[in-house]
Amino acid sequence: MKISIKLEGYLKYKYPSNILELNYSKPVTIYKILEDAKISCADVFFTKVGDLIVKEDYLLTKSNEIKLFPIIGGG
Amino acid sequence: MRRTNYAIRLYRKYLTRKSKFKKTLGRTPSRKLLPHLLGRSSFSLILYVKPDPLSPDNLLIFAPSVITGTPAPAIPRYTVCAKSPLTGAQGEAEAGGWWGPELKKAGFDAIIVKGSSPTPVYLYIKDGKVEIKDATHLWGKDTGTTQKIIKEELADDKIRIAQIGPAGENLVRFANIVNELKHFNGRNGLGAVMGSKKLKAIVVRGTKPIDLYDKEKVNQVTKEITKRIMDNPLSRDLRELGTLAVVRGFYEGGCLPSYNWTTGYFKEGENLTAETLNKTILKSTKGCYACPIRCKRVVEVDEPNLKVDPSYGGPEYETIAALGSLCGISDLKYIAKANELCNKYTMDTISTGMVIAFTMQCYEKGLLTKKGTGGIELTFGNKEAVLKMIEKIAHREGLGDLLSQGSYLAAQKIGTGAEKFIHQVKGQEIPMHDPRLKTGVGLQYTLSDYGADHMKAAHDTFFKDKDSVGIKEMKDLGILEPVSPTDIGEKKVALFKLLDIYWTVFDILGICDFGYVPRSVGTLDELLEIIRSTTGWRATWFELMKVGERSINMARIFNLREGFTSKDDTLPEVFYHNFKGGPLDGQGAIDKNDFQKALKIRYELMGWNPDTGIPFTAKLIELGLDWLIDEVK
Repeated sequence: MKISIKLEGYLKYKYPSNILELNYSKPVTIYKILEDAKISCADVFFTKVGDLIVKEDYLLTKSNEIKLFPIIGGG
Repeated sequence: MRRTNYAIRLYRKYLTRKSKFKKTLGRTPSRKLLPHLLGRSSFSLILYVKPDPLSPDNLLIFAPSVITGTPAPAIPRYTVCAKSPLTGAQGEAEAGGWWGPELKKAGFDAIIVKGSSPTPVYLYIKDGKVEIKDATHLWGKDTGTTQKIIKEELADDKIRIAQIGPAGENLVRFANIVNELKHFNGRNGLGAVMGSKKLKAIVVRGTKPIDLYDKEKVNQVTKEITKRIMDNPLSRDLRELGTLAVVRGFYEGGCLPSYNWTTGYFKEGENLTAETLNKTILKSTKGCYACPIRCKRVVEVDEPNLKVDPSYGGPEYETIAALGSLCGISDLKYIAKANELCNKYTMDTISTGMVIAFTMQCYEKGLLTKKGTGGIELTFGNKEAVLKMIEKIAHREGLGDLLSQGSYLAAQKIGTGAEKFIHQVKGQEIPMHDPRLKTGVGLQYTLSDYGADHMKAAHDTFFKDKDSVGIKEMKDLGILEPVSPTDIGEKKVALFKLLDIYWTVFDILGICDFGYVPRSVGTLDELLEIIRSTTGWRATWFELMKVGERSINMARIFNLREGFTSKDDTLPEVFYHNFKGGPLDGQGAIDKNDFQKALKIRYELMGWNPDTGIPFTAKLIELGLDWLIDEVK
């Protein structure tokens, strides 16, 4: 299955490509995807799969696009 | 390298006795001021008086810090403080821009205004000389017009002007103070205090360089931090998208404050994003003194029926949400117009949006009628109504007169259950960050001495993981372990005790959080070096944290004396309920018992009585505040 990762906010500048794609042969957690894409959990505030906000232990079982939103502070 | 014995230079202005103003303290350091480094801590002077906020007795203090104006990046800020007419508590607000550094170049570290002038005046400070000038011809004029006239009459385009517009003159309780038409001492209604003194503006011009103990070292640190800021992805995001970079995350996450906090889901959120603003109305970007980030937006609208003047800058995130989604408005051009009006009249956009959204809900629930609104159809999404209400509030006409008192007092007057629709702490409307996703922000809303504010500590997100900047770079303050943004246990409480103090140090020193850890790249060591090489003082973080803690305790005692108790340390009820609608529907409620427990732990960690929140005598002794012991007995 193909997982597309869309980076939002400053993640676009921090990581080399705006949209990354990874292939998996079995279900995979968000945590593992971040690890494989070499994206630090420290940079991600929340992850969206479709209309759902999911945690890092959420298991993806089919091809999908995930959106990663950066940490947000005040100012 | 030049050896300096840093001295505080104050200017105390008695507006009542026009001819008897005098420079006080000269270059002699004041024992009571030096341990506080000015900025927010200059509020300590108000501990000596018991003023009514809008009476001549209230002190109005403009205070940069001992390092404001250094060439190091992101240290342009200055504090204005007074007893707040909005909350009745300690009042303070910080602003960036260029005014603070200019005051230092003019030869002063702070201005204290006491009394009230019988007629409108403005203060003109140039290179150590001070004049009180007539402002009768400026009274009633908006900020852009006032700036233009003053620049013409002083024949100097390089002056920097901090001023109030009609909302300040009319004593709107959330009127603010603006410098350069776009940098605000935004919260707490300090513009009304300025208005009560008939002080239209303070104009500064300085041509002397700011004293630097070790100029070479300051320049070296400046160069290093600036280079890293330019390479930093977060800073780049701010430069390209401004503070409203956060809109996309909030709206897609379903936590963009909308329809007076009844939901975080705003269907038309895409219209409010930074990307949309860049594509439609952005004209240019601006920055503050010595800051390479340039996060400020400048917008322009030039349509037959709607014009927005770029002189007034552009909306920040807080404004986009407060005057946009919170009121059900998704038209950026109208939000830009609302922002322009608030800037012309000097009204805090957070409180303005909050009072309008509150009345919209009252109107839709039938607590207000069309007769009561003066014929305005005050429904969510009515963008013309928002513009009309801003005019009415600034000029205190009809319903606007009631709303000019802030949502807390307005709700009491409206009655019949209107109190359910306000969201405030200590009388100040909450900002546009939802504590259900960042519980530390909620703790800070609750405990803030000047009412709810999002700038009372760094936000939880910078401490969520072992690799977070806050964990990697702030070990010297004792910040060692990550905590989840939604956690509200002991570790979160302990973390936010430190962050509260650290952020207070920022407000004392005039530091913008966009330049230093955890929000950016300037390190704790570099900040120390900036202080040392600017002042010649061998400051340590231990000492600085004590300065911050001292300031928090002084404010706590001031508020205690004014009648505030632990019962005023509240979190708005809405955050104890789940989100409604959108991706977070049915989730997020903060557990009330957990939150109350967290508050008690925080009191204990602060050295305050866990039941009353009153500082223990021992804490005051530890901080060198023994002169305040009688106040807590």
